[in-house]
Amino acid sequence: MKETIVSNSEKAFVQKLITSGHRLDGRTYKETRNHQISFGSDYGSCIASLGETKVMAQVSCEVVQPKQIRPNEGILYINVEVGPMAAPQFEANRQSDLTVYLNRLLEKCYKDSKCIDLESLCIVVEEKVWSIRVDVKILNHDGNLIECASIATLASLAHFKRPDVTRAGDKVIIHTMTEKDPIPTVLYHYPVCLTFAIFGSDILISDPSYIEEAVCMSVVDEDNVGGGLLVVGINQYKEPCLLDLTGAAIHSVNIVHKAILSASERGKLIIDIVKKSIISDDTLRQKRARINYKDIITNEHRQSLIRKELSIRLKNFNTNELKQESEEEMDQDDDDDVKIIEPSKYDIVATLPKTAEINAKTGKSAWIEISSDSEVE
Amino acid sequence: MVEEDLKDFKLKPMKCELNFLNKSDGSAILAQGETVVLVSVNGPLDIKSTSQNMEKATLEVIFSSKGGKPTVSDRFKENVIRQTCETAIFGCLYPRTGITITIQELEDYGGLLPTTINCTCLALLNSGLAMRHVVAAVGCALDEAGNLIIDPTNDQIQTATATMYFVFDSREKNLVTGFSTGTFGEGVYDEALERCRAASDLVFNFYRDIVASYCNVIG
Repeated sequence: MKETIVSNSEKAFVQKLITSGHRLDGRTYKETRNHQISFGSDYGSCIASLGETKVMAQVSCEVVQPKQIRPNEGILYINVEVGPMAAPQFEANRQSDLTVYLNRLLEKCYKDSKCIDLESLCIVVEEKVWSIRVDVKILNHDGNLIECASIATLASLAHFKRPDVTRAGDKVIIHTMTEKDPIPTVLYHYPVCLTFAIFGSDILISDPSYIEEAVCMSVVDEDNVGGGLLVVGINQYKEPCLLDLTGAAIHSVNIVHKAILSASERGKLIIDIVKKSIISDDTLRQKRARINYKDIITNEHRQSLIRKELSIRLKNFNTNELKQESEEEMDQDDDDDVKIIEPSKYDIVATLPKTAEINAKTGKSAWIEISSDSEVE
Repeated sequence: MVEEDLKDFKLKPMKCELNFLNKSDGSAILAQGETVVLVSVNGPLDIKSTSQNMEKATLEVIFSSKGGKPTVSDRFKENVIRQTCETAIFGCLYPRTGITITIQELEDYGGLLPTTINCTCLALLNSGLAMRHVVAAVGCALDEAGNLIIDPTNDQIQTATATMYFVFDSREKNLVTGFSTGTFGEGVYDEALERCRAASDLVFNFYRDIVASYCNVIG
């Protein structure tokens, strides 16, 4: 399906609204939507949501041979998938410009900024290293995918623990989670990507929604050509590690300065949220609480339902009986039926396992035996 | 004797939320016990003329596992779900269009496929597509002692000699889809079928409750 086109009147309205100091959802220029991070039962599995934008990240690891030029370093691989679940216009299993763009930005932010200690992932030099793979799946696209995807990636990487390894001579033993405590990934710093939408020549809007992104990337009228998306990657020490601009050229240098200043404040807040949620998840896990994605389903939602007790009383059915009786009779009284019912094969099995199954079958299997005999003859 | 014959069976707790994703036409997240699945439905959509069907809507099912590369078993699940949904969706109302069902596995603690089918049905209900009937999937396992367990847990599935899964329609409670693993006798299969048929009532009631909770006409 083709992407829904934003109409001219919508564009004009959003543009006018923003120049007058307001936003469609009532936020101020610097305000972001709600952040939420929930973890799955595995290590390194999380769903991050930013307002309605939802992204899932799953980290997995395997032992591979290292690259020849870097024999003592592990491998970090990031894979972004945007399927029709995100929005109807995306096609499944196809590389689009958006996937490549997101993938590249995340690689720049996490791989090229060297936030992961790749050398600690080495097991045997030139032979065995850990390869860490991050699968980022876009569940719902409601603007500002890159920020949400980077929060999900960061949270899942920080949450991930790989199995412990011991070397005995030439052998490498990978311990299961129950044998030895798994090792957390070492992160030197926590970088996160933040998006700003540029409207006109000097208005910066943080965390743009879907429509704001669409409007700022398109040209409304001839004299107003400024506008674009500025992505700033920043870590907890307020050091920028990524800058990316899509859309029109920037008129003044000041706007980048302004963006970096605002990003360093906002980035700190987000990283604190990520760290806090990981710590609280860790304490819950130490208390042996079962963390599961089912906890994101809450009763607060209008269209949600939770049923704890789903019990049913069933009698032991006899299939021969069923053919003669209709369903209503079957549901009525069991007392009379039970006496008539010949003990089915299943009932016998319950009292005397395995052998009883064959005993009950004798009537039918006798025929098979004869036929097999005749084949032998 | 009578008391022994009537047994209490329990399905795992069900948790569901409709309209979990706002960009899809219909979506649902369903947890049955520890297994959690997220499904989004988009349709009817405009699709390529080569894949258009003059008679009915073309159904596309995409299953994506939690992490890693797609496998053959994912394709099998897609196939089962597509064939099940093709009978359930009233496709002839939407000729020359496409319906896309996207499934994301979130947690797998046994019984992933029945949960996926139930969740797909809820997402279809939420999307408002015309349907002939709704479907409910119930699984059961045959343990080593020969007992039939309805809606088995993960451990029970691992130790079971056979597992059987059935999908029923809501109108006549007819069998729509059935698939199994392991070895078992014909009589066991028939018994499992009847038990699951009765247990599917609980799932249908769950569907009715969730729709009734926000839809005044039905409630």
